[in-house]
Amino acid sequence: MIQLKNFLSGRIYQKIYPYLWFIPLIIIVGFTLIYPWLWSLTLSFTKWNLVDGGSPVFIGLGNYLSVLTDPLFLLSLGKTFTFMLITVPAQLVLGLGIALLLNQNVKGRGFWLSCIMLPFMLTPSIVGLIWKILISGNWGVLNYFLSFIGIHNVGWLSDPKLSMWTISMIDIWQHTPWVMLILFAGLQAIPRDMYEAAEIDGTNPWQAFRYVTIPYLRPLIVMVLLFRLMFALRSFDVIYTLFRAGGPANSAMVLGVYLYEQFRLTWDIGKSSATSYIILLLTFILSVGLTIRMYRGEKE
Amino acid sequence: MKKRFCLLSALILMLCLSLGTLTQAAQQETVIKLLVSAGGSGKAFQGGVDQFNEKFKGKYRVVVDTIAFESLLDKSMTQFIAKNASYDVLGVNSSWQNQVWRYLEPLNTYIKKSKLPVDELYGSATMKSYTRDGKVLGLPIRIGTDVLYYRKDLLAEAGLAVPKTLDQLKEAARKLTTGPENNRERYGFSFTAQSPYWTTSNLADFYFMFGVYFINGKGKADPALKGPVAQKILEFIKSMNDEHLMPNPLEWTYDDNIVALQQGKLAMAFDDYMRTPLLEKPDVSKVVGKMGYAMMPYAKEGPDAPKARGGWWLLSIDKNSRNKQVAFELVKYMTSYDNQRYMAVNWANGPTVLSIISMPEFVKANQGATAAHQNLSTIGMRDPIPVSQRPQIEKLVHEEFHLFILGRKSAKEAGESMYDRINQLLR
Repeated sequence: MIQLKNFLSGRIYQKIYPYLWFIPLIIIVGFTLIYPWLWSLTLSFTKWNLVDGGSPVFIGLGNYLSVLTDPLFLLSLGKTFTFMLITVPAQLVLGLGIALLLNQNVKGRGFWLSCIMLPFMLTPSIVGLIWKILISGNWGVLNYFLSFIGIHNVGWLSDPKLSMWTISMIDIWQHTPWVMLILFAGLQAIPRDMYEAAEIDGTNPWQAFRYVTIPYLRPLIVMVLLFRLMFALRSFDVIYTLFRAGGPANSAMVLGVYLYEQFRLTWDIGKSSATSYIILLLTFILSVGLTIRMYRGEKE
Repeated sequence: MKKRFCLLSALILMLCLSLGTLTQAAQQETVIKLLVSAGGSGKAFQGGVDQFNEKFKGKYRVVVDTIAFESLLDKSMTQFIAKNASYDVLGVNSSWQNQVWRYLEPLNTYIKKSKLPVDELYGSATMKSYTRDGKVLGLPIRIGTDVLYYRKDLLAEAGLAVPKTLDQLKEAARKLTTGPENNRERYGFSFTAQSPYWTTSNLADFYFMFGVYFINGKGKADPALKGPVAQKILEFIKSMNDEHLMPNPLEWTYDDNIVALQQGKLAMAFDDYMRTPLLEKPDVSKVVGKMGYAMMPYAKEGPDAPKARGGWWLLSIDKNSRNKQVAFELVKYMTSYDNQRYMAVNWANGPTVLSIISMPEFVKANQGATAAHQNLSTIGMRDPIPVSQRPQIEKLVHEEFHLFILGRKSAKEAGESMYDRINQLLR
């Protein structure tokens, strides 16, 4: 570095000096992220099937058109949006509710917090296995208890009308704790003075929540929404562990399962890369608005 | 000081000598890496490998890695694309041999050079199943075929004989099912249709025994798929489900089958004869000594002769392996008559040499062996879908079967749709 300093003029050295420290990071990120991204982007414009052998052949937008006109892709797109519409608002409302409850200086708060966080700490495949045992249609624990009130053999995993609710219920169970934790941290950071000032001004609890709590939590709510939408869009592991496919009559065929099945069934790298980029684009479209809003909120 | 110097010199000398010996040993010993599926077969293969390592001690050494059945193809494919030959020898299942064949070393020259009598050992007709475009893809190490598992005590109590027709099977299922319709204590029969692979395999169990196939001899969709026999079979399965004689097939898994049998919650099932020892383990099974095994009901009703559904494991060599000759030595040893017998008797591994299946020692180790032998010697065995598009075909069969069971399609519509979609794929 000293030699470089002697070699370059002071101003140039001042300009490039900070970037030199980034070189190892750029090399690592370049090889592990950027190169695979670019490589898979290139492949998405080619026809290359591992089963057929041979080399990639350029086919332009052929793969993208093929995926976008595939009825199963359109079905999985619809299922994914339904899944997101059910899970994300439910997680937000429940997470906020629990965070508000825990913020009330309840006894044994640490204990409750740990208990609530348990589902989030479990590996998704384990979550899938646990729920598979709990909700098995024939001899599952949940159906056993339901039988006491005269409800028998509910097909949580075999009835196409129920499978979307089944995967949503599990996702809400697993990810609400994370939402709760973020919002709880936000609640803890709100200065007490604000509530005291509001009280002096004669606000009722609802008004305090509406005009003090929510504005303080807004950046966190936007962030939570952003993350949950992104994760819901690429949901895969729990659903696949439960159904080993797209569920009865493809009723739980979300985009993640579609992509995995497409690759595993055909070994068509080109088409699967195109599908990945379509999902990436969807994530980008969904998140960009929220991200801009989040940064604007921060500036304000 | 002098003493310390002498001690240090001695230490350095000893280190150099031991390093030299180690390097020499490493140079002499060729290490071969083998990747196989975990589970029952994994244990048997490890036993065979231990014998090999003992026999070739100091010359060759085999390191075995096992992985779950579902992940083995992914791992193998990754290795093939990377061309790194991390494993010299790989377990290849019949269900994916047509997808990976381009990446495997043809064994014809090795077999010829070593004068291995493969046709004599495994049968010339069977050897054709392990061959593609005249290239031998691997040698068979394990064969499985489905048989009828039944509770002999319950059948005797009900005064029933072992079912030989579909009607008898349904009658037996009715009598062996217990508990109210909406809360069964025990089911008479089962059908696995949770995932595409098992839906197709279980459907093949029924179809094949009545001469209906997914792919015919010409490599096209079998027209019998949309014929009356296929429709009759589909209607039979649906009626069993509608009468609640079987657990809901849309969520029933391959593992559920064995657990339910072990717990006495299931009276009959079609399953691989390789899994019969699991029911005879007193620590996990409540039905030890109560199970019987027989050929499944079969008849020539379709246009072709009936066959039993079967599958196999090959030991194949990666095209990019740097130790192909030694790898072949391992394949040859593992699939040899002696090792087949050793693995069959000690781990109930399904032998690929037919004569071993009927050996009393093997029948003692695997109670389903007699039924499997009947399958293989009476009607023979067939792989469900011997083409590279197999996974896509499994998926479409699974979809059509689900729509049929859910009542969204008739048996005729489902059969016709299967036929059309398979032909479309093969085109």
